[in-house]
Amino acid sequence: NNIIVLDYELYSFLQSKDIKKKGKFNKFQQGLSTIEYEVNKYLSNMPSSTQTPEQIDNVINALKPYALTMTEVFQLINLRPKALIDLTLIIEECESRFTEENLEDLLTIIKEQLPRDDDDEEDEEEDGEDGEDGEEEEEEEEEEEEEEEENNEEQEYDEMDMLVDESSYKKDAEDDIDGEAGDDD
Amino acid sequence: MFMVTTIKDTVKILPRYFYKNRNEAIIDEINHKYSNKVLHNVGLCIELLDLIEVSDGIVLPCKDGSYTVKVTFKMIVFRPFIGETLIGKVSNSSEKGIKVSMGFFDDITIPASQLTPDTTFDKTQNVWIWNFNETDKLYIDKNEEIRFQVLTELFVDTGPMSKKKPFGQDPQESTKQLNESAESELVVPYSIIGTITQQGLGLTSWWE
Repeated sequence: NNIIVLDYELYSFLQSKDIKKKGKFNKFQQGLSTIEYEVNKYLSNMPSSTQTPEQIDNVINALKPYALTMTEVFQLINLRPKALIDLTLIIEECESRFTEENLEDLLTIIKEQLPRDDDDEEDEEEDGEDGEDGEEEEEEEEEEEEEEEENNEEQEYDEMDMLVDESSYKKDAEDDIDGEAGDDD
Repeated sequence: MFMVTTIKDTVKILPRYFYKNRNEAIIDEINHKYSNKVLHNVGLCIELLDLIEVSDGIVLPCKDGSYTVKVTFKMIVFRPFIGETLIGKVSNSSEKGIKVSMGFFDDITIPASQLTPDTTFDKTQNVWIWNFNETDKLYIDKNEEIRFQVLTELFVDTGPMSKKKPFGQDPQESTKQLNESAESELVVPYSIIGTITQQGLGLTSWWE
């Protein structure tokens, strides 16, 4: 009964709470203040700090042809790898499942859908090499892996429904008692 | 690295907090009890996410007049899965290995056997050095950002001692036992053993 959460989701949750309780130091809640502060500090240095719900929706859709497991997709979003070697850490049996071109395309997808400020320096080197080839590759993969995708899609992407409930983070918790039961199942 | 888990618990709100809105008081109590604490076999609790179900409350007039409710709620927990790649900072180095911290969680150890192959420990500088090749040596310095993978996790139940003491035990005996357990190594309820053996792991500056 455990739902894995994207770093980004927790970060936005903490941001919305800070705004409400600003300036209210509560000695009773020392554990809470400490951990909120530390987790917020940690996540603000991670890629999740600049992500938005739209970017995440887009990157998940763009990654569907690759038929990655949920944990792989989550790690890709949380860690936002920039190099091939980073992918070998995240994707199991990377070399047997994908060719080097597939992986390069995957990196491009991530870079495009989850942009970061430090990308500008690297962009000057890569200029449209993978442009056309990239699209062809993706189409081929879609045909091959469509069947697998249909079977796996429901299981793997159910947890993504959490993103839809984004707005509930920002309401007062009081309002949510009636509405929340069973929403995330 | 974070997940949401459903917990059921009984919450007691003291009369002095009756000025609060009921749900607010319940949330405060739960956060006070769980935030920044480790739940055995669950993980490090961060914060309450949402209340799911709150039963009708009971006030026990003969005790302290507290309002007692049974609550089902969702809690955000830190618990990376085995094999997950995480980023932290080197906090300490010793012969046994290195300790890594993530700010909100410090009990991450990378034992000497799980360091990048070909690393040696320099006792004078108290630092591990990766002998990358004959000419290049890379240092694993303190406060450097490091990428590692979770190898195993260890939960230790640090609840109160459950050994039943025989009736009428000498009070000196029991204090002696308490002192002994305090002197022995501090037990950590939740710790992670990491590894940086795979290519791509280690200091992030190495792979940029």
